[in-house]
Amino acid sequence: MNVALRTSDCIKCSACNTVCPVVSIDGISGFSGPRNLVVDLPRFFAGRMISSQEIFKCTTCWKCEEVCPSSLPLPDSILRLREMMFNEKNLVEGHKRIVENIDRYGRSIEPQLGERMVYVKHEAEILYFPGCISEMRVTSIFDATVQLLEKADVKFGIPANWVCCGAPLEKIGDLNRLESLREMNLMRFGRFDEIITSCPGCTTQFFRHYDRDPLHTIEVLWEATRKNRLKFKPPRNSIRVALHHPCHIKRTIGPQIIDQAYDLLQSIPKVKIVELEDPDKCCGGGGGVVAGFPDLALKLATSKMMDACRSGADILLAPCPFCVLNLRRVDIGRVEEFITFINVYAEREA
Amino acid sequence: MQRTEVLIIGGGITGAGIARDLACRGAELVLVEASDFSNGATGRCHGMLHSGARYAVNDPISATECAAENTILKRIANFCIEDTGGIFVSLKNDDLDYADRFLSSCKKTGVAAKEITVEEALKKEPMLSKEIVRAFEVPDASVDPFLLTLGNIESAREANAIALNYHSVREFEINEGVIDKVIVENLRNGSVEIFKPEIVVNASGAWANKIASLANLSIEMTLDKGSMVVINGRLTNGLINRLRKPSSGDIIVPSYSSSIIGTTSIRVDSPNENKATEEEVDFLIRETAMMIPDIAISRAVRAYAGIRPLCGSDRSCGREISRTFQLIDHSEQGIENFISVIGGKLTTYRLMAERVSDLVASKLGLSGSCKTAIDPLLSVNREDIHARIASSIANRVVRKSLLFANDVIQRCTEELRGMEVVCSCEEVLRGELSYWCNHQDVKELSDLMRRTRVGMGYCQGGLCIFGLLSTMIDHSDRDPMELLVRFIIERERGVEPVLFRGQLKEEFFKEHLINGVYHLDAYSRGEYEKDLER
Amino acid sequence: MRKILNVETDILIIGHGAAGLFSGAVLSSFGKQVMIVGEGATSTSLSTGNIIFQRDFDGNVEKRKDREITISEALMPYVFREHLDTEFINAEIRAMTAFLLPRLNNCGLVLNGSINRNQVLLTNTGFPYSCTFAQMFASKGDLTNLSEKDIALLGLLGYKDFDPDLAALLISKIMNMKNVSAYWTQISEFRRRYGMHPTEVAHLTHNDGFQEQLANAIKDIDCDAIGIPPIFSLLDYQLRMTELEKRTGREIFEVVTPLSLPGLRFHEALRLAARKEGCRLSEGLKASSLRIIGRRAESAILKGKFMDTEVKFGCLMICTGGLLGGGLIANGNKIADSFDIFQVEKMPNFTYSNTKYGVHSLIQMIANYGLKADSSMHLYLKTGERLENVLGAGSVLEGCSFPAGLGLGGALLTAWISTKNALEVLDQ
Repeated sequence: MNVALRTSDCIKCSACNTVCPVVSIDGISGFSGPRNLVVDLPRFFAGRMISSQEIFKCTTCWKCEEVCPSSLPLPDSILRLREMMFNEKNLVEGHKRIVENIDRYGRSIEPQLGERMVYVKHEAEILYFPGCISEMRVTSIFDATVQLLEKADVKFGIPANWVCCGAPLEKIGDLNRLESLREMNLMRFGRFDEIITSCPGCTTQFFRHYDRDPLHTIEVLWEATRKNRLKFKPPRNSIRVALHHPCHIKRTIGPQIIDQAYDLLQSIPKVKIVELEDPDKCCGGGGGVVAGFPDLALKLATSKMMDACRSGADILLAPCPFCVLNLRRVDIGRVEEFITFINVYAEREA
Repeated sequence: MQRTEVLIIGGGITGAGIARDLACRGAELVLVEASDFSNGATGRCHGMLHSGARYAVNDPISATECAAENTILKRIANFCIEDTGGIFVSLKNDDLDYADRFLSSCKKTGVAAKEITVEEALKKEPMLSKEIVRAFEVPDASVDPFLLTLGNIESAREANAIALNYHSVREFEINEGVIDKVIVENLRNGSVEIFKPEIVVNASGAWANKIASLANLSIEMTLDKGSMVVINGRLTNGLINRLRKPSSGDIIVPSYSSSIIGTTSIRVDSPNENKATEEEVDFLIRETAMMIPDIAISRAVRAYAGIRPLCGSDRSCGREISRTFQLIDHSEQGIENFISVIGGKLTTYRLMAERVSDLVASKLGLSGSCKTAIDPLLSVNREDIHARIASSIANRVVRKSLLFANDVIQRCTEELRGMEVVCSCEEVLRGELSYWCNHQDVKELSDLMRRTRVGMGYCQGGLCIFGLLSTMIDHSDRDPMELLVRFIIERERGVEPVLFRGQLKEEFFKEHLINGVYHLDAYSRGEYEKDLER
Repeated sequence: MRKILNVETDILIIGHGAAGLFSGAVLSSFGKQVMIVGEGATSTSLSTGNIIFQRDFDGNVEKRKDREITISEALMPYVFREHLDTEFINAEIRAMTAFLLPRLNNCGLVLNGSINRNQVLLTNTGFPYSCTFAQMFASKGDLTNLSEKDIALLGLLGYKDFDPDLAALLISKIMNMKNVSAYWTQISEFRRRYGMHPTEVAHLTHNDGFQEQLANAIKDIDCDAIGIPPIFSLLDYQLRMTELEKRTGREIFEVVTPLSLPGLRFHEALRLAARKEGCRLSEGLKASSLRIIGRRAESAILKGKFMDTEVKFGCLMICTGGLLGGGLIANGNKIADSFDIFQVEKMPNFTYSNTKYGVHSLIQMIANYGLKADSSMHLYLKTGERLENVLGAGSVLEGCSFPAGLGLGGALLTAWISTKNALEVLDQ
C-alpha cells in the first residue's frame, strides 16, 4: 500500500509494455515492464521483494506515461519505488560511483579537466548552468553554448562553484543527497531566477525539484532567430541530418522544444532533414542505466544507430549530452550534439 | 440407487461444514450441490470473520457465538484467514453513547474490544478519515469463503464422504412420513441418480424453502439481499467498521488485492434476485467514503449481492432479525428423517455444523464426538514446496491449493507452459489452472475462478479469458465457445452496476478485444443468460 | 509560473488516432501547415485494425425513428444520415482508398489495391471473421481460398498470445473446416517458460539464425498454408514473410493476436505516413482549452508537463476519439466531450440484435453518444450555435464510436470528408 502513486485505473491494455524500450531488449523475464512493476507488483508487495536489479533498468523515458490511455504516473511511480528501495550498501557498481563522485567532487562524474571557467565581460542577466556531462565529457556542448549565447547577445554568467543538479540522484532514489545539492545550488544562483541549461536532465530537474523555470538552450536560440539576432550560413556541401528526440526533452520538458529544434535546422541552408522511423525511441542513455547496466544501454543505443543508418542520414543529431555519450559508444554512424552542430553554422546577425 | 446414511443438500459453507463434521464422526454421507460449492450466499458474502463486535449491542447471542468461533477458526483454518484485526470507528455526528454501550456489551459477550486513541487508529490505518472521534480495536479478520468451503469439502472427502457439485435435487419420494428416495439430476450429463438416505439435511440456504416444498413443508424465513462492491486496491490494513447500530454501508474488508465495501439489506422474494443495483453501489460508496475518503475516488471493479436466509418472518426489516441460526427437525411436521438449518453466519458455520451433526448423530446412533474445533482443517507440508518455486508465488499457490499443493506445484514446474502467468491481476499460473481443469468438480470457467481467483482482478477476465480457455480445452471436451460466453456473461453481470470511470474504460477496451478481435457477436447469449437466471 | 509559447498554424488537429493522423496526412498533402497534438494511447492502436465501411448482417431489419432501415445502413457513420446515399459513400470510399493505400504501402504495410468482400482473417482464437478490408492491413497475401487448402497453425513456445491448439479447434468448429492442424515449435532464444512480450519477440527476430530456425520448423510441416503469429515489426515484416515463403515454398500468413493488435501496426504506419507528408506531430500535449469568439475558434491552449503553448489556427479539427480514446468522458450518466463545450447527442438507440451475444447493452447505449455534427462535419456549441471553423472526425462523433459505429472505417471516412470541408474553410 502507498507504494506507488495512483494506478488503480489501469485497463491492462499493455500499451506501456509494448512501447517500453527495455522490455523489447531485455524481455519480460529481464524487466517486467511498467505495468507489472507499478500496477501489479504493489498488489502483492507484502509477499515479495522486488529485485533491485530490475527496477533500476528503467531508462525513465516516459514513453509509457505518454501512451497510457488512463494517464497513469508510471515513471514517477518507478522513481518512487527506487526511492523506497534506496539503500547505499546495495547499489550496483555504477550507481555507487555516482554517489562517490558527488560526495567527493560535487559532480556526478569524475572530473577529467579542471573546472572550466568563462569570464564574461558583461553584466550577467541570466545564468547558464552547464551540467556535469557538458563540462567534463562532451565538452563541445559547453563551448558551443557559450559561443552561441555570445553570438545571440545573451548577457549570461556561470554560477561559481555550482554542483550537480541532482538528476542522477533522483534516478537512483537518493533524495537526501538530492536535497542537499538543491540547497547548495539555490544558494549559488542567488538573485537569478532565470537559468539556461544545455542538458535536458538539468532542465527537468530545475522544473521538478527547484521550482525554477529554466530555459533550454534551444528555446533561447529559437527566440534569438525569431528576433533576428542569429542567422545561419550554409555548409560547404549539403548535409543530411536526422534528429533524435531525446526522451527528457520530448516527454518531460515538452515536445515544443523538438518543434523549435526542427525550426532551427530548417533555417540552415543546405541542411536536409531526413525522418527517422521512430525518432523518439529511447537511446538508453537516461535513468542511470548507462552507469548501472552498460550492456543494456549499449544494446538500446545500437538499435537507435541502426535506425539512423537506415534513414540515410549523414549525421544523427541529439540535443542531449547523455544521449550523445551513450550513442557514441556504438561503432556505427556519426553522432553530433545538436547545439554544437548549430554553432558551426550560426553567425551573429550584422 | 445408492444407499447412504446422510444426504446433505447444499454445498455452501453450512453443508460443507456439516459434511466434514459428520464424516469425521464416521457417518457415511453424500453432499449434493446444484451449482458449484460456495456459489450461493457463501461466495457472495463479505469475507469477514466477525469478532462478534458488530452484534454485541443488539444481538448478544450472535455476538457470543461469533467471539468463540472467531478464535477457533483462526486456529483450525489459518490457511484461508488473514488475521488483519479490525477497528470500529465513530464519526463526528454518530451517537457517542452508543460507543459506551458497545464497550460494555463487548465485555458481556466476550468480545475482545479495546479502545485506542484517534492517533493510534490513524497510525494503523493512514487512509482513515480525519473526522473520526473514537476508535476500538477488535479481532476481526478477513476470510476467503471459497477456500474455507472447499477446505471443508476436501476434509470431508478425506474422511470418505462423497461431495457432488452440479447435482440438483429434483424430487423426494416420501413413504409414510419418511423420505425414502431422493431423485437427483446430474447437471453435467442430465442423468438421474437416486439416493436412499436415512436422514436428509437441508442446508441449502436461501433455497431452503424450495427444498422443503419438495416435502410439502414450508419454513418461516426471510430472504434478505446484501450487496457489496469490490474496490480495486487494498485501501486499509485491517477491517474497518462504523460504530453505530448495524446498518447499511458500515464495513470495509481488505481481501487479497482489493477492498470490499458493504453491505445493504433489502427484502427479496426469490433467491435469484441477487443482483446489485447502481443505486446500492452509489449508496455504499457514499457511506463508506465517510470512513475512508479515498473510496470515493477509487475504482469500483465489481458489485455483487448475496441472499441471506434469515430465521423468522415476523419483522419487516432484515437488520432487526437476529443473525443466529435455527435448527428445524421436521419430525414435528410429519417428516421423520428431514432436518433443515437456516440463518447463521459464515463465522458461525462450524458451530451450526456441530449442532446439526449432534442431532443427526443422535438420530443415527453414532458414537463419535465432534472434533472440528480441535483438528486443523488441512495440513500441508510447505517446506519442500518453497524450495521448488519462488517463495512469494509458492505462498499464494500453496494457500489456494488446499491439500493438492504438491500436485499443483508439480504441474507448474513440470508442464511445458506451467509457469506462464495467465491472469496477471491475481498472478495465476497456467500450471494451477491445468491442475484444476482436471479436477472432478470443475465444469465451468467460473469454477476455476473460485479455486484459483483467475479473472477476479480488476480487468474482470478481460485478458485472461483466452489463456483460461486454452488451458481448459486441453482437458475438457466442452464447446469452447459455450464456456467462453458463459464466463463473459457471468463477469458482465457484476460489472454492470459499476460502469463508470475506470471500469467503464476497461469494459470499452474489452469490447474491442472481445467483439473486435473475436467477433463474439455472432454467438448466441440468450440461452446462457436464461441458464444463469435459473 | 508557466511559460506560454505562441505558435501559429493553418490547421490544428486535436487527437492523434486514425482520424487525426489521416486528416493530417491529407491536409499536408495539399500543402497546408498542420499540427497534430494528442496524448495517451489511441483506440486505433488498441483496436483490431479491422477497417470496414459497412457491416453485413443477414438481412435483419431494425426500426429506427419512423422508418425501417437495414442494419448496414444504420452502421454507416451516423453523421451521414442527411444523405444516406450509397453511391456517394461508395465514391468517397474509392477516392479515400486511392489516397490511403499507396501511402501506407510506402510506410511498410502490405496492401492489395482492391476491396474484396468476405475475405478471411485469422485471429489468435482462430476466429475467422469476414471483413472487407482488414485482411489487407493485417496479413499478407490473398487468403480467399484458404478453406480449400490444408492449413497448419504454428505456435512458438514462449509466445503465449497465440495458442494454435485453441485456434485450430475453433476454426474447425466454427467454419466447419476439417483441414486445420496445430503445431508447436521451440525457437532456441525464446524463454519459453514465462511467456514473452511481442516486442521482445520482434527484437529477437533480428538475431542471426532466427529466420532459419523458423523456416526449418515450417518445412517440417506438410501443409500448403501456414499461419504464424505476428512476430515481425511493421518495418520488416513484408521482407521477412517473403523471405520465409521463398525458403520454405509454403504460403505463410499471419494470425492476429490481441496484444499484438494489428491496429498498432496500422497506427504506426499512419503516423509515419503523416510525418512523411510533413505534419508536425506533437504527442504528449493535451489541449486544455479553446478560445472561441463568436462562431469562430481562434486558438487553443496546449498543456505540456512544464510548458504551455497557445496555438492560433485557421481551422480546428476535433479528432479526440470516443470513450476509450478519451475524447468523450462519462460523468455519472452524463456524457460530455473533453472540453465540455460542444453539443453531445445520442444516436437513436438501436441494438443490432437481441438474440445474439452482441455487445454489452450498457456499453452499446453509451457508445451511441457523440458530438453532433452536420453533414459537412461542422460541430455545434452547447448553446446550439454552429461553429464556422471547427470540424469533427472519427469516433468522437455521434454514432461513430466502436462498438455502436463502424470503428476504424467510420473514423477514416469521416476524416476524409472532414478534410474536404476543412480545405473549404481555409479558402474562405
